[in-house]
Amino acid sequence: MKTLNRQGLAARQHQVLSDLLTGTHPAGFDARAVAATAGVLHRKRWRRVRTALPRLTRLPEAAATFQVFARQHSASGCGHSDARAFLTWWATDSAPARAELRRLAVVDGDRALAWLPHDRCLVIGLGRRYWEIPFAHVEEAN
Amino acid sequence: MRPEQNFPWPAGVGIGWRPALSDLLVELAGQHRLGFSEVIAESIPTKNSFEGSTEHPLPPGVRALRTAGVPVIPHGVSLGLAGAQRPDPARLATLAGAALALQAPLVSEHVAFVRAGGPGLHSDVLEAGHLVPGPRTRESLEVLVENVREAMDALPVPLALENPASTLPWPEDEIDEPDFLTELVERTGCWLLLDLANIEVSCRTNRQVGGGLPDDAQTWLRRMPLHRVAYAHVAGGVEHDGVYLDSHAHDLTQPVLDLVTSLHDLAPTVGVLIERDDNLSVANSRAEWELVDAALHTAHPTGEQR
Repeated sequence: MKTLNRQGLAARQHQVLSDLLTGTHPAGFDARAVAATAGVLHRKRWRRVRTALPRLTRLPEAAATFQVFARQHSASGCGHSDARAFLTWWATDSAPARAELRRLAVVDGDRALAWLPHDRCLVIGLGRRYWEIPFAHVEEAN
Repeated sequence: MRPEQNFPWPAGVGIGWRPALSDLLVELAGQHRLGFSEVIAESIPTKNSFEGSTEHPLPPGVRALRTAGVPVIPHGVSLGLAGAQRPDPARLATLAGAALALQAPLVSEHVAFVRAGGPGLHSDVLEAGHLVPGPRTRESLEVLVENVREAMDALPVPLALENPASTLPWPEDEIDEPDFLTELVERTGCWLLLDLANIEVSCRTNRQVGGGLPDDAQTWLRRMPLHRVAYAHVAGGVEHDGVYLDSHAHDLTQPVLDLVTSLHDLAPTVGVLIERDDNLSVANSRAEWELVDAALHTAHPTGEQR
């Protein structure tokens, strides 16, 4: 029985896929074809993430920032995992991202309260249940 | 274990099942206007068929189609048969389970890879999140043939494989797409799910990169192994940064509808299924059904009946 070079094919596909996902041009490929395919991969990944966590679309610059994140980090598991990994990465620079992580902590039951300044919303958790209370107007104390 | 009773082979005009379109599909089935449907196999909750399970919690809309006598084909998206790895037994069991749950006459998947393992034993596996066309070389074809044979052995019904939207010609490609697919079906005995929108994508891409091969979609269609087509797909597309993509979110284009007519001329019994994943609306889907039905009625069948 002929021995198939699966390992060689695996390495080749891994290299090309890695290049596409990180925005690197794989050698020998047509530039427009690479851009089109890489674009499809990125748009699909962003779609999975925002489907898993629709609130992401409410954060300013989320889509553009996610493209930066995606080029540096391969997808981790499902859309939910990828969304959380993105927020964790973004939280070092973004107050709304940090607030969304606090909200997720309430949803997970790891935290009792979270205030979301960008949404003017208070999230309260109790056991497995949580409530989101919007505030129409917030006045800061002097 | 084979299903006790299978629905007939797909024919006529079909529409891919989506929750938003469920009521429309039931309505069309009641009017005898829905030839068949298709559902993403991984979305069907099933137990492992080989454990002898009986009832499966199908979505009510899908169950209604079965009750109405409409064939529903499970369409897998996660096997990655064009990848280097052997097909995953658990994913094959999912596909098999879906076939049994739906009493489907066949299942379908893709000639594409969806993940790639690294060169080392402990290298990360990259998930593409997309059906990526692989290189078309003698070596990759041997791997694909072996994978397909293994998949066919594990499935209780015939397997049809969809031609990819080849937006990414590989520099090492040795075989053009029609010849690659023809050899695949002839060596394995699998069927072809002929995606007409993907033919349009592949041809346009080939033209843009100067592949030197016939770049006319009608010519490509005639070079495909039409005697082995189980059913066909159509979908809308859009040009993005100068490249035509099968978006599954835009209107059907005339060149793709012309391919429907040509396919019906050549293979009159082949059913055609409309795929749409985004910008879903009942109005859009009704209009698309009318367009595809009209395209079929424009045809002058000369091909052999299956």
